[in-house]
Amino acid sequence: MSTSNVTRELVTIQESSFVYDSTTPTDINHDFLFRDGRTPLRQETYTPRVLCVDVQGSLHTLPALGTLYSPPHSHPSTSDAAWEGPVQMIHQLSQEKNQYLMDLEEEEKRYNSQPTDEDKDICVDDLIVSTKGEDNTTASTEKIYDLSKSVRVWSDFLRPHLHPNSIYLLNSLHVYGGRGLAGDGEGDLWGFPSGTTVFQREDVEEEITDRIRLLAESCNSLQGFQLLSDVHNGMGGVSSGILHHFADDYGSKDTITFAITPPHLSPTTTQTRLLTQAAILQSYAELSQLSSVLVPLCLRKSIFDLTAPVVSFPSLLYQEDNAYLSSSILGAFLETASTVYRTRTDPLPLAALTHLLTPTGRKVAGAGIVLPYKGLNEDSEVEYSESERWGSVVERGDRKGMCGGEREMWRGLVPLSAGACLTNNPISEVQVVRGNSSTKSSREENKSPLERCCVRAVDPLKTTPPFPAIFTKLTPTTFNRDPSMRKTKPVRVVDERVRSVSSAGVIQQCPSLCQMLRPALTAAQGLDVTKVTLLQEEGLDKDAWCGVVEGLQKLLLAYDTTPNQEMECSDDDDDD
Amino acid sequence: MAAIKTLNPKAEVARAAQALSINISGARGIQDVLRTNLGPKGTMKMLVSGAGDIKITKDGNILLHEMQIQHPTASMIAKACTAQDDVIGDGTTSTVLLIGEMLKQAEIQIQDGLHPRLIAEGFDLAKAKAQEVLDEVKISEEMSRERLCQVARTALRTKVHSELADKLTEVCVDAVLAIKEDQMPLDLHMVEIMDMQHKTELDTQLVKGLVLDHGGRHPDMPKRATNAYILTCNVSMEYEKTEVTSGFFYKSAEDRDKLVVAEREFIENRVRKVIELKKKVCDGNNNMFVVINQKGIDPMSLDMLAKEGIMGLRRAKRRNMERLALACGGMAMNSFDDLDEDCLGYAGSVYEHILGETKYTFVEETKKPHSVTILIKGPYKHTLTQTKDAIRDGLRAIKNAIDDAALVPGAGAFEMAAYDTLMKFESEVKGRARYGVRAFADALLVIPKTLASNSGYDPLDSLVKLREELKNNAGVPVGLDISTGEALNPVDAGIFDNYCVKRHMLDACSVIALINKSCTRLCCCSTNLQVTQPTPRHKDLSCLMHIAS
Repeated sequence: MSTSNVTRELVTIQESSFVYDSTTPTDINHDFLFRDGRTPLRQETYTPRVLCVDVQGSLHTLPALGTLYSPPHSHPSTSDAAWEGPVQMIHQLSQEKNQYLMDLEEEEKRYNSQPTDEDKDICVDDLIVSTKGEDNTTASTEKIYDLSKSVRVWSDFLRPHLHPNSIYLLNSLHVYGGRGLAGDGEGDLWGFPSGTTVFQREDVEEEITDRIRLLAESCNSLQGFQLLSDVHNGMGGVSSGILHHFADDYGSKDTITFAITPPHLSPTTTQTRLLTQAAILQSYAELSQLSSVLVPLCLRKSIFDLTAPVVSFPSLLYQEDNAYLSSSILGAFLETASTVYRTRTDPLPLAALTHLLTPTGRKVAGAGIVLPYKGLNEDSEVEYSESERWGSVVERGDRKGMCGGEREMWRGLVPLSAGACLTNNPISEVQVVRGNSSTKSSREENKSPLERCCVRAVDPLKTTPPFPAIFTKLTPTTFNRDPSMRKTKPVRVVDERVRSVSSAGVIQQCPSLCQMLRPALTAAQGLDVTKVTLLQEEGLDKDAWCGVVEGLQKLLLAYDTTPNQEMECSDDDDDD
Repeated sequence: MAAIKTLNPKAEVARAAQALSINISGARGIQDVLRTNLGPKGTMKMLVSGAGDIKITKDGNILLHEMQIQHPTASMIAKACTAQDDVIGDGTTSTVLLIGEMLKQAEIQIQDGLHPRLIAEGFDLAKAKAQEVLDEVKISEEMSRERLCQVARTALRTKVHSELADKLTEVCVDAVLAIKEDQMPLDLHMVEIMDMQHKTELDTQLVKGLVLDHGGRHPDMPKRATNAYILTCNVSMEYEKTEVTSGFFYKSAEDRDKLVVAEREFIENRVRKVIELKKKVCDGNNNMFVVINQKGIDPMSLDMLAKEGIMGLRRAKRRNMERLALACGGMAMNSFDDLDEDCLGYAGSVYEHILGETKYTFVEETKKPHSVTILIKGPYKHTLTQTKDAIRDGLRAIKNAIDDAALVPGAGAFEMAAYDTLMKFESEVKGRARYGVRAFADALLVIPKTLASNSGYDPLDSLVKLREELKNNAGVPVGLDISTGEALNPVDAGIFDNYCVKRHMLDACSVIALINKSCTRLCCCSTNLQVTQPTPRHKDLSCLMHIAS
């Protein structure tokens, strides 16, 4: 029962959650995020409850209406136009589909040609195809792809079908204004104020809110919304408009907002850099006020410094400038963390979750992930193992600053909320472990003052394609014949055959978040908007910016009550 | 000049004549795309995207939005047209054509050595004069249904084929007349536009009532209600956490259950109040009861309602609350504390229609509908969009006519009249600015010329005929008959344009053409284009920046 607004990269997330649908033993109730439907041809469907808002021209090969409800016209002819006069047909160049999409298409064709056995399975969805259609050719989930170079937009690795109402495209003319789309990347520049203006356009607001309403109408007990949004551009502004709408029309529902700053941003000029940073700061100020809880997701160590080093995972290999790879990590986190309210038995209501995470008005919560995850019971002294099951290994953690077995569990935890150091003096937290049976599931253990909710699911995180190959394994040194190499440490190479991994995610409220937010406030105070022409063009004046600074100050105020505690947690290096 | 080079060595700078030619080529490029659209005989464009999405349109504004415009001047023009479409709703193709033509005419004069400033002066004079002409030719009168039909038909015939255009004309005019109230500004939002992928576009109809795109969510709920009381409300009927930020605090499982029961009780009380009212008004007669709620209704509440034979709809559009009150009477309730019969609306017939997974609920046979629905039908999604766009334009044309209380003869009649007057006016202008006036006058002719060539006639031939006619019958509007290529009187033929469209067109064209002409320097810095500008007053028109030389 959630609607997410997905902008470009985050989409892996959605996709990774779909992959699970064919698993048989499961702890996860997919009805939370999916809904039944029926096409005009009376086919039963199961589509995600999602609304993706993106800018025109970013879908490449995906038709905006999807192919599920309206099969694509194979040969559109001018007679369709129903016009007495002349009709001119203008074909846009078609984008090339990558190998993965072509294989999916093949599979679907094969599936559609099969006689449908009505008693057998009512769920006529392509997701099932992979389990059924294993005749002679390998299904797309079995093959190994290297999409890291060919993926340009999210629809390039979108596996499930979407409902025709699921995608809304903002018109690029409204978005970029007269700035023109000047080719490579630099063109897609729009700041927070443009985002707000675009959402305020009557047609845009009506279309978006109406789609949300239709999704909400189909829910029997709507709990709330998950909003995923890029915050480095105008999408932050669009999201703030959507959150305003939530506050107006769905006042009693909770919204958990994931504010995402992808690590691949590299503005070339000072002006564009300032525009991006201003958008990030303003998004944090606005979105945190409007949502029940805001979880920043960022692979860099600072939320607004676009050149800060990226966090490194012990056994993952990814390039920071490749959105496809980096977003898969964020996707894995969201998939893991959202299990909390998606479990089959006794899911934690969204309201309880947000209540747990935001004591005393602290609206920003930190997030972290262990990927892949190994529990306590497994031998932590082993340097590495060729475990087929987990596909990869976790390096032995440095135990400095950890106390007790509980902390031990979370070694390898990488904070995704940049700069925050997690697992140190948390006030409240939500832990999720997937695909590992060694931990117990518990709810709100009364271990004052820490409020905690632990959730466990047997399903591991599936990392079959289109999940990119980012997991590494150590090459066994014994095979290394080269004497010069023998002394060196074993080399990490990408393991392409990881089918599934266990993962652990944590969302927590801790005083150290202050360390992440304070530099943001300083940066906001230091920015003179009158000197940035790009911001001036966007219509951001000094008063509006003062509002942003005040918003951030207010946000920080909630964290300022315990100045002593902040000092204690400075050893966050363990986690990297 | 040197400064920008110092700041950014990669910057490319175009000067005077070069800058002008860049601007002109942009404007001409966009003009060429839209030229063929103009008029009822224009070319329909069918856009097929790389992914196979189909868009069929002839509307200038929609085409501009579908194009990936990179040229800075072109995108500036596109932006101006968007603004025009937002405000007025029509006339974008004409505006683009005029801008292109003005720059073309200006280019000829500039090549002869006339300074852009002088042309600008001439344009300003000519624009003022043209507006005078516009006020002269406009026909101010009380808008009869027939006149409204004529102006709507003129607009719609340029968007969809004539059979559908005639059908939509009736639909649009009836819709507007239904919601029109004396002494009140017309609010087009009170016409709901709903689409249904079903049958053909000719089955598009006007529903004197409302069509909602959702239905009952309970299997036992009645699917059809006659003589129904309608309760519109914005009250949550679902179990949820309390409205104030607070959590559940409990010590044991029993405590928790108690809290849940108490919370449930609270919601049930609300539902009971509705049921009480239903019993009060429906006892002893055959009337039915329908609840339309803006907030949610959960399965348990739905069940309670269904048992009483009440039809319950949840999550109605916010705007439909207002529309329902206008269509059925009654008022939208924000609380159930003081419910009585006066709050209820009435509809003769409420029924569900199911298409695939979508349910439609028709609320019809209302007593005096002040809000109506245009139900668009069509076999494909793209035909639905095409019809929807056309209807929007049709409604806007009618609204404009009512607001202006004036119409302008169409078929190029205004442009011919303005040309005629401006040519006389030219000799009165002192100095070289008169060439600017002349350029403006010549540019205006692009409209009748394009109309003629799109209809398959020689543009110059037709122009000669029109000017002859104008000379012979002074004071009578002369337009182009697109079926014969001869002159005709648009008033007799019932071809009318909106006054405000023409007025806005004159304004927008001269301003944009001015900026582009007087822009003497164009800088291209690395990848993002920046153009420089002499006066900041046109800044709102685009995000381009112009620096004075």
